[in-house]
Amino acid sequence: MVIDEQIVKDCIAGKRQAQRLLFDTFAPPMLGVCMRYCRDRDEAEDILQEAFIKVFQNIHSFRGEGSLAGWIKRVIVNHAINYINKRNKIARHEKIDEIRETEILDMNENVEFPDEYNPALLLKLIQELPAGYRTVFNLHIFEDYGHKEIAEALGISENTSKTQLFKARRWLKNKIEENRQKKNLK
Amino acid sequence: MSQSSNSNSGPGKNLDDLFRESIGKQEFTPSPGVWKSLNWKLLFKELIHFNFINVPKLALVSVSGGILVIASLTYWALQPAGKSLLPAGPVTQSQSVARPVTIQNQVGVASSEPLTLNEKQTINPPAREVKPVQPVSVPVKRNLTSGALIASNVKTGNSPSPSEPSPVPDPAFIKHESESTNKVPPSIIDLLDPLEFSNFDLSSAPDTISFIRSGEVFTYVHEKMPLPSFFSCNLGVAPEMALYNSNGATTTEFNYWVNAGIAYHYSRFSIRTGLGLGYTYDEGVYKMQYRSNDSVSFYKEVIGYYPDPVNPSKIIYITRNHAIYDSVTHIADDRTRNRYTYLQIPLLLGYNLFETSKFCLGFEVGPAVSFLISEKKAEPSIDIPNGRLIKLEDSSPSRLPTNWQLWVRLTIGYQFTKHWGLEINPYYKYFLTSPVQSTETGKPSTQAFGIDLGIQYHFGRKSIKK
Repeated sequence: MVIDEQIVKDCIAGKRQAQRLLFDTFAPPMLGVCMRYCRDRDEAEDILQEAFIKVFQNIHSFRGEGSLAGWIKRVIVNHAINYINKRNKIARHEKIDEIRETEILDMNENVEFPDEYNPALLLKLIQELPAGYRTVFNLHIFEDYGHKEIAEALGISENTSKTQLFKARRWLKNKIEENRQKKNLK
Repeated sequence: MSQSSNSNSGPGKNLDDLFRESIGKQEFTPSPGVWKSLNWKLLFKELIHFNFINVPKLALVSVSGGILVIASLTYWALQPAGKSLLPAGPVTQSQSVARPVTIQNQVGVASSEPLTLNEKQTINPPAREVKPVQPVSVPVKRNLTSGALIASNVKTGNSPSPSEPSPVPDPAFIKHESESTNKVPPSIIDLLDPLEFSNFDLSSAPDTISFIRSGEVFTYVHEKMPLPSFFSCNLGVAPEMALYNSNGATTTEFNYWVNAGIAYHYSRFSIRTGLGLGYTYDEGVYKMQYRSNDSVSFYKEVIGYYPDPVNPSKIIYITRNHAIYDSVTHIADDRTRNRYTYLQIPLLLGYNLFETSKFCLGFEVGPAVSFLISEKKAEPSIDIPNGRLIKLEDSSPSRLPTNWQLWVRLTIGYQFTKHWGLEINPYYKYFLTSPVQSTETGKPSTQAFGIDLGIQYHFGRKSIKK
């Protein structure tokens, strides 16, 4: 991912070749990000396309203080969140379960998984998650968002965010266990 | 950010680490259609913002070629029988009009029809003694009215003398003239004897030429035509560079306009008005105040010690640095690009300094008023890692709903058919009232330079044939 300053300047000037180069460089990892937020590849490519339009329209506001990849990823994630919010995929009035945070931490720390899981299978499991669980899980695990930030981004309460994360983890753990058992039976 | 809950004790991984490490850096190659579609969307967005920088060269060449071909075809299609509609010389304000004349029971009527001769036709001078079987309307050649042509005919001396008996007309020719009603008959000028044009009546009025041919009087009256007046409309685009001066600092922005107008031309003068719709841009300024946890200092933690082997009375401490964090308030600014849509109405008075049948060069001066009809402000980019936004203030100068300008523009026109023409009008605008609100630091001044490129259509413009 070597994108020099000149290419960024050319992108700001609207030169298509530079935009193409930027797209070719960053689209594969960013499509990986989009795939985690969507149910299928088509939806992910739609988000990628619209997000890259935003990237090209707002690239003048990239001040070069951080990495360009990080800035693009933030745009992609924000667009994915907006996209999901627009589609009302988040259950905003989730019933708040009485879950203590220690339980969440305990669940994460007490379960161990072997290394040999197929990444494609794990991605499929994430895509099968209910939209609310999936978004919170992605933001927390992959983007390092805290519950407060997730709550602000999705317009939900912090407790809802914690609940969704807990349920996402439990759902994923069960699915992994199921898969492991099926594999052992074979 | 997230609380660290990723202890990875033992041979396996916890759930979070499993996902993070397995698919955190997964990559997928997008299908080729993604870029193609993205490219079209970007192109469309550029076009609706009048930005043509990424239009494929092939498309530009095709469009330019198409315009040239259409213009050429229009030019040739509008020419009657291969003759140009446009006079070669400058437009004069008087024209000659032939009056109907009576020649031996034949009525000559001025006609603008072009005269053509069949290759097989032979032209024989008619004899006065022989009367035609029936009266035939013979159009008089328009050029006959020209004094220059008459003079040239006088110089031609290869005709028989008036004293010589005129030959008897060929009955076949007369028959041919009577029967071939669809064919244009030969001009009377071709039948006349040039040497008989010698008797001019110089006592007539200055705008009248009379001459006697074989005892008959031909009178041609030059009538003064009214001054040319006609309407025209135009459609064009105008890229423009605006200079905003404020507090000694000048910022430059590019604006784009689509203009449509109508003008009334009277002689060399014109008055023009119309509508222009355009985007103008300027810089939005946002001031941000945010708080973030930053390292403000550090302390050293002693994690061990040992006596100095060289000097055992000394003790060497092993330390580790720890950063001290505190919430620090930052102030930053962000620049965005705002877009405003204006509707402008000019009222311009013009004068043509130089004009021929195809080119004209002049200038136009007048006021114009612009109305702000919409504004689109770009959202500031809030890129604050590990920080929290406290205050966001929009410091962009606010735009006034109307502003007045004084326009001066050079008008250069090229007429490629009788009605259609191209125009290139470089212009200068001085803003009599600023488009932005005055600030405490002073009143900003604005000027703009641009070039209006377009096509124009003339309604009812008179053309003079050769």
